[in-house]
Amino acid sequence: MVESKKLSSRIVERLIYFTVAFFSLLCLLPLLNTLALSFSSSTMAASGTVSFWPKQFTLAAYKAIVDEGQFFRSFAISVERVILGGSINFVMMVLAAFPLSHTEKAFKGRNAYMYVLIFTMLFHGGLIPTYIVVNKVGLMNSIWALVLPGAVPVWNCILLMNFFRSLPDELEEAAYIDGAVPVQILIRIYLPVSLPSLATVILFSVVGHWNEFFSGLIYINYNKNYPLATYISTLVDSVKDLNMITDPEEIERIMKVSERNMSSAKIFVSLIPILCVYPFLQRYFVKGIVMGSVKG
Amino acid sequence: MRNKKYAYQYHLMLLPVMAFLLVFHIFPVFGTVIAFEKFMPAKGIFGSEWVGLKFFQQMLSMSNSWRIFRNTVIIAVWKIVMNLLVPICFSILLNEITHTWFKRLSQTIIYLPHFMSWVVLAIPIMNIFSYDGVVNGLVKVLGGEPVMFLASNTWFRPILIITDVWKEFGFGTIVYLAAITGIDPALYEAAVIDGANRGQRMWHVTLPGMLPTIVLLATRSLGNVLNAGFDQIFNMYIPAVYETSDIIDTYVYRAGLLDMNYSLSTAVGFMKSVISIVLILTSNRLAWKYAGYRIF
Amino acid sequence: MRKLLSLLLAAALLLTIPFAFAEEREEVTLTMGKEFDYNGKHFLEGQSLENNYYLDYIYDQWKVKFEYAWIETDDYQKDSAAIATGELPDVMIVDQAQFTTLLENDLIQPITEAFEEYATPYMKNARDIYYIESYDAATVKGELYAIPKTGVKKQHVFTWIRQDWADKLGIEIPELITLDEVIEIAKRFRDEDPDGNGENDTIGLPLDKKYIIGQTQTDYIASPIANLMGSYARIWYLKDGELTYGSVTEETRNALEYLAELYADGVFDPQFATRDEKEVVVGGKCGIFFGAWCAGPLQNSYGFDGADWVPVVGPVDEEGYFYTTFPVPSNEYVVVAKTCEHPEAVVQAVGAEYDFHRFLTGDPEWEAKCTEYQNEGVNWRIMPIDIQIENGDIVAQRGIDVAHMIETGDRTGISLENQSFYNAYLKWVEDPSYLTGWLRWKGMALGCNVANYEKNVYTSPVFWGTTATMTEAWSNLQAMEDETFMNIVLGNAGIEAFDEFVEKWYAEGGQTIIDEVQAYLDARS
Repeated sequence: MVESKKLSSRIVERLIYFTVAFFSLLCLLPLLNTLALSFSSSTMAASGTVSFWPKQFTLAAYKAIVDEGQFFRSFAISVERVILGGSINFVMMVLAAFPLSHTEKAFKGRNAYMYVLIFTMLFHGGLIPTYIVVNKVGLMNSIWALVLPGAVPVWNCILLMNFFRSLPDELEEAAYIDGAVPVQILIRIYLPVSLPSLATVILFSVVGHWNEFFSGLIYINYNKNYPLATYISTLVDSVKDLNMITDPEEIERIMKVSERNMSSAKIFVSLIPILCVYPFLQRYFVKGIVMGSVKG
Repeated sequence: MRNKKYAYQYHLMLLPVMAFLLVFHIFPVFGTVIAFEKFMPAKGIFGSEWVGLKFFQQMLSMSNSWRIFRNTVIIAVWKIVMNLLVPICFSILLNEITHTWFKRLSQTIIYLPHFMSWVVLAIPIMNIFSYDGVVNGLVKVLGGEPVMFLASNTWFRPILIITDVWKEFGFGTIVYLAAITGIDPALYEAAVIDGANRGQRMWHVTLPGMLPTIVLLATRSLGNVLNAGFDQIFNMYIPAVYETSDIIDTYVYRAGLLDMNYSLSTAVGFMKSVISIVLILTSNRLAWKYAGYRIF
Repeated sequence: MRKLLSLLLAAALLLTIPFAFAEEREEVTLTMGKEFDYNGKHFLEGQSLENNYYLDYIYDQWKVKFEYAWIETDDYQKDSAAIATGELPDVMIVDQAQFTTLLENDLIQPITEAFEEYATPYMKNARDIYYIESYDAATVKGELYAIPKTGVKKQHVFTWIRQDWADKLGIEIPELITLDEVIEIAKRFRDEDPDGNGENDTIGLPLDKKYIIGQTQTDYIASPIANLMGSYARIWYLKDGELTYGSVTEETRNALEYLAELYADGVFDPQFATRDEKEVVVGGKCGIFFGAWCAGPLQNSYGFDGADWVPVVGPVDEEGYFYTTFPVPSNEYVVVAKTCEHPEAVVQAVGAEYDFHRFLTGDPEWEAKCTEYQNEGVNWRIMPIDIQIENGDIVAQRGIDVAHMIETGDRTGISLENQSFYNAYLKWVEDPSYLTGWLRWKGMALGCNVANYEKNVYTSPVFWGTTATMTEAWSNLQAMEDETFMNIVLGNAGIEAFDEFVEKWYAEGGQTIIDEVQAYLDARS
């Protein structure tokens, strides 16, 4: 009896491992495709015959990236944006989540604030009105235009707030009895026990800043100041109405195949930071288990 | 409740948050009035001619408006449901894995497609589903006739949903995994002592532990009932499948291309906001009434 | 009498220009919103958008400097945002819809006088001889509001065939090709394994998925076939003197029915609907297609497996006539903001940059610099106001000149610009990896001459703007059109879908739009 139970359990376990491995591999395919394209010669990349293995292997694309200054300049701007935007987001999330995690009874006016938050999550002013505000505030063409309009990530605030709410009330009560003020409670008690959730919302915010490209397109005036995601978005073939183009050189250039191996290499390099940051933050998810046990 | 006397500190914490929201979110929302006027840049937002519901009528008057609305809702609802179920299942599976390196690795990998934009992903996906692609190769091996998946009104929608889930499930998995790590390990130990097998532990411990997070994410995703995924569809569809894949956003995009119709796109955005705010507030109330969770 | 007067006036004006020089004009700085795509462009060592010969020459002539309010890539995001806020830089290049919006909002100023006074002979020549309709489109109530783009006219697609494949299968490529021959060659290329790899992986004719048929400027479009049948889809033209929208005609119905037959017969790429046909050409999977004289993928295709493409006139009818269309005359406009204090500086700058670009400076030093640009392949788009101003015969002249030089090596009397193409060709002869030189030979010496075939029959678009109803209904009508065309050709829908489409088209705004366009044309004439 015991033997067979173990066996079936082992089979289930194998099955789980297999399923997870299979789906993980499936997710690796586009990356492999990008990688293969980036190591292929430009003609092969353009011929549409490269799938998951490079054809006419060459490092030319990577060499070109190194030679071209713009990629790394944009890279640096993106790093700056992530650090700046990430920290602002972090502060705002915590400042919003902590007071709002209390009940209306404990904090009068809490619900009113909450409705403001929900309202802004669902109603957007749209492109033009927001553009006018950013312009009027004088942020145009500066990195602040990329981080300030999205300073409060409402959805992440709510995630964090719900996590705070799930913490036992006794934690706070005990601290008050010890004579602590809210700021101290937040920093000394709430934040340390919330590491897994903080890691999650910080990850979202960092990833959001790294990937977001549209605000760069409209708020930044010069290509040379574009963050990386914006820069990459300009590399991918845009849909052009050829009927409208009568410049022979332009048609020649567009009809001539885009440098797909180059853009693939750039896309891949732009993924590297995420690949580095993510496992680092992941450690905190695992730590959450330890925290949980202490709590119990 | 001793913390009441500190309420002013809560207000103080929320002050910068509200300031940012006021300037960059709430103020531009007033710009939404251009949905009700024929917006003329020179006359500004408050000086343009008032046309009332003209643009709303325009949306509804086309012979295709019902088709566009139906496509949007069908695709969006499928995506909402699948993007809820798949990550839940996957995070539970992932949680069963005991080898930490394997768990971390696959967690990183499944999150990867999330970082790649649809412009990039559309190319390998279209290759995979093309007439001589991998999927049709499989169909032929199994003795079937190859299908033009991407030009077929039967297949295009399922492909949209599957590939979207494939791109995003890693993202959801992370949130659920963070929720699972928050579950008290003592509960598992108790379950093992009570003789619960793997399946029973999943059902009776893991799933209930995740429930608040599930309700939270489900409520939020309900707000997306009119967002069927512009980037994906725009990069993958062809006129032959307009019948099943033309959505509100692709229509607005095409309308906006022809002339600078800000008013129309603002009107559409406004309509979508109203519908999603109703849905979210309703589901928030339902979640509280029936499941006992307060999200906001 | 009036003519004499205007002549006198012109002479008087000419006299004043030198004085303007002598006055030691003050420096003028123009702010400009620039659209520029860095992809595939390069600069001379140490040069940039802010520092190049075009700017040097403009400054040298007129003391005009440029400051870029923004440099954006490839789309009209910034222009649109700027227009929406009403805060414009001095100069912008805008599209048709933006131009209309700017006029309606009274945000730009007329440049009639500045143009008359400062436009160079090159610019006036372009207006007076080739592109009066473009200038008409930029004129409102007698005032010129923009310098319109005046592009190349002969930009239509014709047949390109792979000589090496034809030789292999023993196919004789005729000088004029008929539709039947096109179809036969396509079928043989599809069936007889011309690439010799033993696999059935070649296709017949590629087909453009976006339009299928319509205007004639897009590679792979099947318009040459449709035009032969009298169908001119997607353009507004005069059919027997009557205003017609080509997509809803009986001829287009017939053309679509025929194309559907061809598709069912496997003449077209079975996957055209979901594939970028560029890949098919570059990847050596097809040996015949419809492309323009400058067809770009040829070069990559030659690089891929040495494909030896030749241009052929056709498909032609029994009498050897080839039917095609002109592109729309203009859809880009240089506009000057109402707030700009020096509208004349804009006209001066455009004149100067083109004088430099077309070797018209009369100064060997500047000409040498322009030659340097040509040889290095510096794209003209780096000029500050990068509007296209062409001489209408440019394609014909290029074809004749480059062919002549390749044949005889004789450069006398040929423009420096056209000589530069010959130089590129010579460079390829020495260095076969320089593919641009190969394309100069195929595209210009051969392609331009095919484009310039004397029995071309052109249909001209008579309307290309936007009417009031169009802003509301047009995108929907177009979507219906795209969907119907594609489904008919794919066989997803029968030809009766076309009749349904036409009926809906008229009902959902088409008829109103026809009336509006007619009214617009009446008002013009």
